[in-house]
This record gives sequence, structure tokens and C-alpha cells, in this order.
Amino acid sequence: MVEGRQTPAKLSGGGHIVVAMDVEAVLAQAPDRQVATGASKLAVPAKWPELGRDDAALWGLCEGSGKSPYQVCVDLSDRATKCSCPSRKFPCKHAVALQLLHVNGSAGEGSQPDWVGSWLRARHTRSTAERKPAQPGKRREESVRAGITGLTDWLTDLSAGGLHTLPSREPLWWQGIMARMVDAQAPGISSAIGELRSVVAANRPRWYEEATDHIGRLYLLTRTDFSEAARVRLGFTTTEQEVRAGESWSDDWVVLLRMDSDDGKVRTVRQWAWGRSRKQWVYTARHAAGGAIPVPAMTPGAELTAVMHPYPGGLPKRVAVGEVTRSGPAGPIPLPDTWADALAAAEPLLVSDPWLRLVPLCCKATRPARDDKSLYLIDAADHGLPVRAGASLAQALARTGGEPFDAMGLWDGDFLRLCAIAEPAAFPEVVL
Amino acid sequence: MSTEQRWQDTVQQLLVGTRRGNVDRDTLLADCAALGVARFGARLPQMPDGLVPVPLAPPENAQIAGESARNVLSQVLGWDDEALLTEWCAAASRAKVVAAHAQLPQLLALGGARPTLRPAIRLVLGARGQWLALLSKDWAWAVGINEQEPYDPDAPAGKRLTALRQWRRTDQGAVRALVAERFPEERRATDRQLLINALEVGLTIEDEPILEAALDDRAAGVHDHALRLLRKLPGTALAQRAERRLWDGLREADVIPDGRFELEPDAAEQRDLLHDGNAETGIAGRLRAAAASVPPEFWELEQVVASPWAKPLLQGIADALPLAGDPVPWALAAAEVLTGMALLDAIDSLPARSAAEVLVAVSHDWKYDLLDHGCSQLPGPWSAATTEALLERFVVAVTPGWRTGRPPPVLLTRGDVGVLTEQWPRIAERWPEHTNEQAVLHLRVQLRDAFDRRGDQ
Repeated sequence: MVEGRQTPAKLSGGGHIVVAMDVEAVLAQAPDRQVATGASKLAVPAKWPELGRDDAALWGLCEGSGKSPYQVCVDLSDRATKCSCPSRKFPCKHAVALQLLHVNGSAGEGSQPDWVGSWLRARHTRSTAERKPAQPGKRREESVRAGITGLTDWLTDLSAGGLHTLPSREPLWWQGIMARMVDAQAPGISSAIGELRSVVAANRPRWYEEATDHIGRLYLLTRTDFSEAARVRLGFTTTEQEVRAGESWSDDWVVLLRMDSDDGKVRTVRQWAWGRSRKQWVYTARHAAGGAIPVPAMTPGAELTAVMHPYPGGLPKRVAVGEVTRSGPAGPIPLPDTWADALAAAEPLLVSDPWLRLVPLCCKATRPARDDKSLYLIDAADHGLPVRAGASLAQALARTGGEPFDAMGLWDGDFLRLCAIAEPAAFPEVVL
Repeated sequence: MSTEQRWQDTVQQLLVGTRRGNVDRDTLLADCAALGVARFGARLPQMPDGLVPVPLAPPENAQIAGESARNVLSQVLGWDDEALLTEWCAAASRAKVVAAHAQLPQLLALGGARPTLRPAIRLVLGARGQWLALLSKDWAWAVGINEQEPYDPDAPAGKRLTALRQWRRTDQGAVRALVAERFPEERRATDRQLLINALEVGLTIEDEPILEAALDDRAAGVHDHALRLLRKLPGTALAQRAERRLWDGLREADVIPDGRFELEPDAAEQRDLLHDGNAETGIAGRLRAAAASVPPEFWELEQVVASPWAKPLLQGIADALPLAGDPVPWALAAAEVLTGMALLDAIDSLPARSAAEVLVAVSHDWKYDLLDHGCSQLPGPWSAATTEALLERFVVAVTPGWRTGRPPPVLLTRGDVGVLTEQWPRIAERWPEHTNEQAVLHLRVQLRDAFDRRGDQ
């Protein structure tokens, strides 16, 4: 491949997995343009009376407008940050600037100040602390069943009136049913209705087809057998602590796919990794509220030797990242020869979770082609799938110059969202 | 019936509703669920008609930016500073280096959003960037496609002017011919003024006949615009007429008007005076107009300065500075009679190098604000000599209260990196609150080093 964007993670001498980044990757963490610009301007050693790093963390004191400098530190294992500044943006410009200084080699090795050690210990304690497990039990299930009855009535009314009535519905009509589902302890249904409302509000061409699919999936929930996949869709949750106490999958995981989403209240970053021995994709999800950007659970473009703990639910399995013992650049993964093979391989995912509408999809040696509307990636059998235009596609074309490349992305039924590419049989590169 | 057909039927039934469509509700909702899954799962790849392969990118003959240069560009893009980005592109271009392939989409997107950056970005796109630009209409500006709006005589005035000025950059003769043809036909003065305005881009002596004709226009706006453009051209008939008037109307020995300027101007002279306002009325105004129409070298500087009519003459000479072989002595003399803003306007009309020389020469006792304004007009990076001189000016100028202790940003973003680095201790002492500006300088030093370092560009 022509160039690489990510710097692979490396294992430090102290046994911590240090997520190494370049300038672009650090700036990509900024929640908005102002933070990125502010951080770039703060990334000057003169503004930092104290600056240091060790295997586990970066830290520094940054002069601000107040009397005391801000205390800023970054956990190198997952790039979580903490800063004593009053900014409501997360990570703040000081935390991003500190990482820029690290990239530039301005942070020398030193011994951790107490305040850094305390924060790291507190984080560790929080992540391993036992939480009282939620005990929904039968009462929760009964409550959800009552909610499903309400949903059935709502769908019946909706189908009687027809989709054409939806655009003129008052916000209160939507809010009423969504609140009712939350009260019935079925937040998953509430979210699904919220998505339907967004589809109607977006008023895209042929929105009614999207809405029909959403309604079909809601109807499927009313016929639930409370299978694992259905419980996830209904909103039953499992805590990370419960998951970590359960099953463990050790494997080499290749982190290649990613999708960020924002519903206006919560930002979510989902990453998909290919398990070499398990021969299946798993995914992680991290959420953040208040305008913050969630820190990805895994280093994009890395291959991790790690333990993953699967959540209950359909395929691909959501996992919690356990102990990581090795990290390096992602190696090649096995890919289908054609899009038809790739789509056929997605069938078990849909069987296990019929609500699924986003699946990992890869193909060997695809060639870009275009018509007057879209760009397609053509496989060896001369069949193509349309690719969503955007930064990742532009990156892929800029790097490959139109030569064939292995395509790895997420298929939503209409377009492939390209996430990673590789020259045939070469190491893959993330193009997000 | 295929899955897709059944799906479309189901969508239509749900759109209408079971009440009007006379369909069983449960069956319809079950169809929505089943066919939705089936449609997603049964999708097959296709080969749509009209699909054409994307051609391969041509080989990149230029050297691609190395790691350090690429790293600096990442930081510059993070700063969101147009001057720094322009400097990176210029430095890369001088080193015959093009941007790394992975950074091309960001540069193309930036050029799409900010047209002022396009000339700089074009320098570093290389063959790969130009190939990439062909794939998106948003980036077609990089290869000159669609950037030029076609001229539409029925479009609003703003669009017409933009189209003509863009067209003029690529084909001066065609626009000249169009203006010559349409100028007599346009009935509205604003439309005729727009045509004259378009000639300002790439103005040459070949435009003189049109401009001369426009001096007979009844509308003051059209006439005055044509006159201002004519005064920018050397060797025009206007300049010859002005010279004759000056020879005839001034005493050679002491540059004092004799009787001719006391008479009312004849029709021919009236034609060569600005009609709007009263800047060129009376003896002083007419002298100023004539002086603005001839090259400064027409005069003996000492005589002009000694003349009791020095003020209007020097005001006119300031307007004619672009025609001077060496504008510095004339600008110095004009500085005695012009207001600061008028002098800035005169400097702004000069090419960058001359403007820098003139600014350095005339700014000895300037206040901070005027100096800052003047420096902002000079494109960067400045030469070492200009930087040294302007640093001296800023050091002695009284910094206004709101900037006390902070160095002038324009000096640090546009000054010569070598001079600024060498003089940094002095700058830091003069302006103790300098961390932001130091950061800018630090980045510029990295930028310079990235392209100076052999083998790592």
C-alpha cells in the first residue's frame, strides 16, 4: 500500500499496551474544529510548566486563564483523558494538546505525580468494581410484555391509517408512545420508534420504503420469543461486569471496521474486529453524552492478541475487550472472492438477528467503476456494489490511484461504507 | 412474483393503509417484517448499465512529501491558518515536492471550501491529486473544470461580473472582444460599468481603445472607472495629453501653474478629469489629475517638493506610483502630504516587492495600527531585509493597550523565519506574552526544516 495513516500500537516495557498515534489520529479525537485548532496552538512546550510520560500515562500542567495550571493526563492504554479545566467538551483542547506534544516527542520520561497515579488507580478500581447486577427477572419481562401489547395496538392503528399520515403527526404523538415504551422498561422499542420518526422527518426520497422496513422490524418485536437477539433489541442490557465474569474468547483480533453515530444526545462509536481462529466478526460499542466523542475500545488498524467477553445477543457478537497481551499492525484477513460470496456469508448473521441491517462485508481485488449517479466496486465476477461517497472512499482512491484493492466495509442494504482497504494480499489499512 | 415486486406492493399497501386498502392488518405487518428481512438478505450484486471503469491514475513524477513535511502539514491543517498552509504549499513547490496521497482529499476539500487557497493547493496536488480531482465535481476546480462560470448576459450583475473576470484570466482577448461588442449596446449605466470593471483583470495597453471610448460615456461611474484604469497603463494617449497640459500650463523653472490652469478646463481636459465628486476640480484638482496620469519620472522630484503646489502634485504622483521605475523616493515625498490610509492605498497598488520597499521606507514614525495595517497588505513570507526593517519599526512603535506585551502576529506569521529565529531573544524580551506567536514560529521553523532536510522531504 502506498502510505499508512495509523501508527500501530506497541507493547511497552512495563506490560501496558500503548496506543501510539500520529498527529492526524490525535486531532481526530477532538470533538470539534475549535478544540482541534485550540489544541494545535497549545501544543507548545512553553505553555506546559510540567510535562512527562511513562509506560502508562502522559501528564502535564498547562497554563490557563486561572491562577493554577490545569492538571491534564491521558491513560495510554485507551487514550482516556482527564483535565481539571472547566471545559464541557471532551476531550478538551488541553488533553488533545498533551497528546500532540507526545507525538512531537516533547514529553520526556519521568515518574508519575501523585495526582496521575490516583486517577489511574481510581479508573482501574471503577472498571473492576463489582456492580450490583440488574435483576429484571419476571417482573421486567411482564412489564415488557405489557409494553409489547401497547406497541401492537399502536402498529395496528398506524397500519390502518397508512404511512402517508406519519409526516403530519404531532411530536406529542411520537413522544407518547416512546414514553410508554420506556415506562414499560422496553427502551429498545422506544429507540426503534425514535429511528422511525427520524426516517419520516428526514423525508428522503422513498422514505416510505425505509419506514416500511422499520415498521416490519417493530412488528417482529411484537412476535418475540425473548431470544437473546430479541432481548437486546427490546432493551434488556447486560453490564460489562457481568459479561467479563462470563465467557472468554482468546484470539487474534483484527480491528478494521468502524462506524460513528450521533442521535443528538449520545454519540456512539462501534468497531468490528475479525477473529482469526473464531473466523467471525465481533464488535465493540462505546457511548458518550454531552458532545463528547467516545474513546474507541480498540486501536483502529491494529491486530490484538486479546481476550474478548461476548455479550448475549445475535451475530456478530458484541464483546467487551478483556486483557490485551499483544498489539501490532493488522495483517491480511481471509476475504471472499466475490460480492455474491460475501453476501451469502452474511446469511447466518441475519438468521441469528433478523433485525440486523448493518453487516461487515469484504471482497478481494475490487476495481472502482462509476455511472452518472454512484461509484461501484466491481469484483472478479464483474459484479458490483455501490459505495457510499465520502472521506473514506476518497482516501481509498487517493491511496490506490484506481488500482484494484481489497475492500472491507459495512453493508447497509443500499451502500457499502468503506472502512479499510488493502493491496491484494497485503496488510490492510483503515481509511476512515 | 419476485421478492422485490412483493415488497413494492407491500410498501404501497402500507402507504395507503389497511382501512382504505381493504387488507388484513396482521398479514400486511407480517409481510413488512418478512419481506424486509428477505429483501436485505437476498440482495445480490449487480452490473448496472452504463458503468465505466475509473481510469488508472497517471504515474507521479514529482517527489512525494516525506514524513516530516507530511507531519508539519497535518499540524498546519490543525491550526486552520491559511497563511501557514500557503507557506507550506509554496515551500513544497519550491522543493518540487507534492503532498502525500493520503492528504490529498483533505487539501481538495479545503480548496473547495476556500477559493482563496486554490492557487496554493494546486501547486502540491501532483498527478495523483489532479486525477483525484477529476472524480468529483466538487474538486473540479483543481483541474480548471467548471471553475469558470459561463457568461450569461441575462444573469444577475454579480454573477456576470464574476464570470467575466474568471474568463478574463484565461482569455483576455475574448473578453475584450465581448466588451467591445456589448459596451455600445448596453443601455443601463451599471451594465456598461460592469463591462469596464471586467477589464481590470489582466489590464493591458490593448484595452486602451475601449477605455478611451468609455471616457465619452455620459454616466460618471462608467467614465471614472475607465479613467482610473487608463491611468494604470503606461504609454497611453491619456498620458500624452496630460503631459502636454503640464508642459503648457506649468512654468518649467518652479513648477507653478501659469495662466492656462486659471482658465476653465476645455472639453478635452474635462474628459480626462474624474466626474464624480470634487476631487479634480479647481487648479489643485486639475494638477492632481494630470499628475496621476503621467509616470512620476516626468517630474524633477526636487522641483515638485519645492513647489507651492506640491500637495496636489504629490497626491497625483502617489496615484501613479505603479508607473514609476523606482517608487520609493516618490512614495517618501508623497508620505509628507498624504494621510496614512491614502498612503496605504498607494502602497497596495504596487507589486509585492516594491510595496515592501516602500512600506519600509515610509514607515519610520508610524503608529502601531497603521504599521500593522500596512504589514497585513504585504503577502508573506517577507524577505530577510524586509523582516529586519519591519521588526525595528514594531519594536519602537507603542503597542496599543489591548496588545500590550504580545508581539504583532503579522510579523511572526509572515516574517522571514531565519531573521525571527535569530532575533527571538529580542522579540521575547520586547513582548513577554509571546507563547502563541512562539508556537507559530516553532511550526514555521519545522516547516522550513522539513523541506531543507535532504532525503526527508
